[in-house]
Amino acid sequence: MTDWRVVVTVVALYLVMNLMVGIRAGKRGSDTVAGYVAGDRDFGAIVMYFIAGATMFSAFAFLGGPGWVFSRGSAAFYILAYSTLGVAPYFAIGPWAARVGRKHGYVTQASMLSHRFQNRWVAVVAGVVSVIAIIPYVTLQMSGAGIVLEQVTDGRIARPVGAAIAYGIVLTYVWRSGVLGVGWTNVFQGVFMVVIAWTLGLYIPYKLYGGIGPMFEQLEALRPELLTVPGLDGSGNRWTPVGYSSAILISAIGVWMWPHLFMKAFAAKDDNTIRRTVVLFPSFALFLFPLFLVGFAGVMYGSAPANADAIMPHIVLTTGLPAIVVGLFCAGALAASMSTGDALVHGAASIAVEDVYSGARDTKMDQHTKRTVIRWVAVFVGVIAYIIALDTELSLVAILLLAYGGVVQLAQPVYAAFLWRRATAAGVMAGLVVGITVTGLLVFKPEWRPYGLHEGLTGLIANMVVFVIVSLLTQPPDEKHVSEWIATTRGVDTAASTPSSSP
Amino acid sequence: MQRCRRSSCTGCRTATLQLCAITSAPLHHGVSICAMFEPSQRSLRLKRTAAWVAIVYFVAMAIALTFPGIIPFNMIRPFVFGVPFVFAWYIAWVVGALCVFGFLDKVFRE
Repeated sequence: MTDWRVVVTVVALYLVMNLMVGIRAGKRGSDTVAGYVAGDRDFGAIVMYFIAGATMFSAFAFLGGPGWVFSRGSAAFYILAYSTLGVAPYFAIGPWAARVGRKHGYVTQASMLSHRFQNRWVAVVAGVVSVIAIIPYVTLQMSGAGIVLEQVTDGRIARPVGAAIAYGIVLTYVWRSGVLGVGWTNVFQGVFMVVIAWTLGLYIPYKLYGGIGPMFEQLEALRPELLTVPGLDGSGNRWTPVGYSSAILISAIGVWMWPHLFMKAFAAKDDNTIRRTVVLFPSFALFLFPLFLVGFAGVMYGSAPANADAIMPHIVLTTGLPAIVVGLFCAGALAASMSTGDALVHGAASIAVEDVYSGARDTKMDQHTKRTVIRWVAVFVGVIAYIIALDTELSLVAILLLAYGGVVQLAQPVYAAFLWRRATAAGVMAGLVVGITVTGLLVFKPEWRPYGLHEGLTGLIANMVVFVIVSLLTQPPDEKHVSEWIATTRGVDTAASTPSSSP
Repeated sequence: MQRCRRSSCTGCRTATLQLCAITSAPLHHGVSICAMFEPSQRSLRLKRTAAWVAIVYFVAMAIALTFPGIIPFNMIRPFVFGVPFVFAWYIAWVVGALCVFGFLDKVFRE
């Protein structure tokens, strides 16, 4: 048996275990939309922690992180900064969202916004923005899975076939088990990827250069420009400080706006569970450290892959590691890709049906029909992302930054819902449309970016200006509804309260 | 559920409550009446302190890890545990965030 067959066997075993965990998890849930989308609001701290960590740290971290360090040096440190900064506001906002979610039965972020702003079209617009942002993110995960399988089998499993195998399994357990399948496979995948990352990250510098310190000493002599921020840009020139800093800001603001992450506030058992998830989250960010070490090790490595994102599998395959270890690495990388891809596919389908379709048609489907429609839309989202993945030449981190430009636009209505009583539905929708338009325009015309600011940040500024102006020019929202809604977020029960004039 | 315990207070039972941005407790005519709510006054002071510690820490972190705040620390030497100083600088802020979150969790756990 040749080495690549051992590798494929290990990967196949991993995939079968994944499928079993995902399918078994679904047996615990009810046959309702809340069961399929929000896990009957019963996720404990361990599942929530791994959902947050494994979902956020995906193929972009496992392959794109070392890939960026390899090609752009310290530019990749932006991931360390934003992933920790971005989680902090969720300590307050997560429990706020969970409280209103429990009271009003929300299962998606857009349905929460729709009720807060008393306009079903807010759900439609926010839902469309969410789905537009999610699809490139799913594409990224599929490309990652394809890259790994192609590399470790030396091209025997072509990238499209590898992506199809991995995501065929993802769609199977998402179809069967919904968010419960996503949650419990994320626990399994999260443990796997963290162990693999730390093992390889500490072993490879030791094996190639005699340790971490000696590796950086050699690198300092050869490529010192890679060891200080902002590192290099995509064309190998020094990245601008504005570009680097705005990438951190846009990602930090946007990270918990990802609907598939935000929605998990509605799946948590209680407020303490959400807070505990936030508290432990930076421990997941630390797993980038060994991955970055692999990227730095690749800079002075004798050979280089054609695609920078493949540096980690390239080193693993060519340093003479036993085939079983290569197989475990491959499984770890697939875990990183699938643990995010499943949540994304599930989230996009839930939003497309729950918010966009139901909101636009103002119809009520029965629970069973809605669940079935969500399943079919999940398959559809997977197929669309797969078709795009076959054709994209962008790096994994570049795709992610592009997707952030879209999703960050949701930050404005979400924060306003909790903090600004005067915000109106018209303001939210106008802001979102302008924000997404400006972002899209700058993606296609990067030379128009002011001072090299990230297109999403420029879009967000335009979004905020339009949102505030339109909100102030339109009729104020119903004061009683807003007060009760905000009071619920803060844990004040207004149901027992009797309206009265101020004493 | 938090309830105002002062018998003479009626304002906090209206449907148009304003809320304290830090402790999330209602404001009575713009004046915080957090102290009248369970748990104890001392616990609420601690929550407010913890919230401010976190806000200050994360604002400082945002400044320290982006330009121009990063400039004084953007250097290769001295190495810290074998890694360049600026790499260790980023890792240290992440570890610090873990400690701040741990403190917040201890204070806010219900």
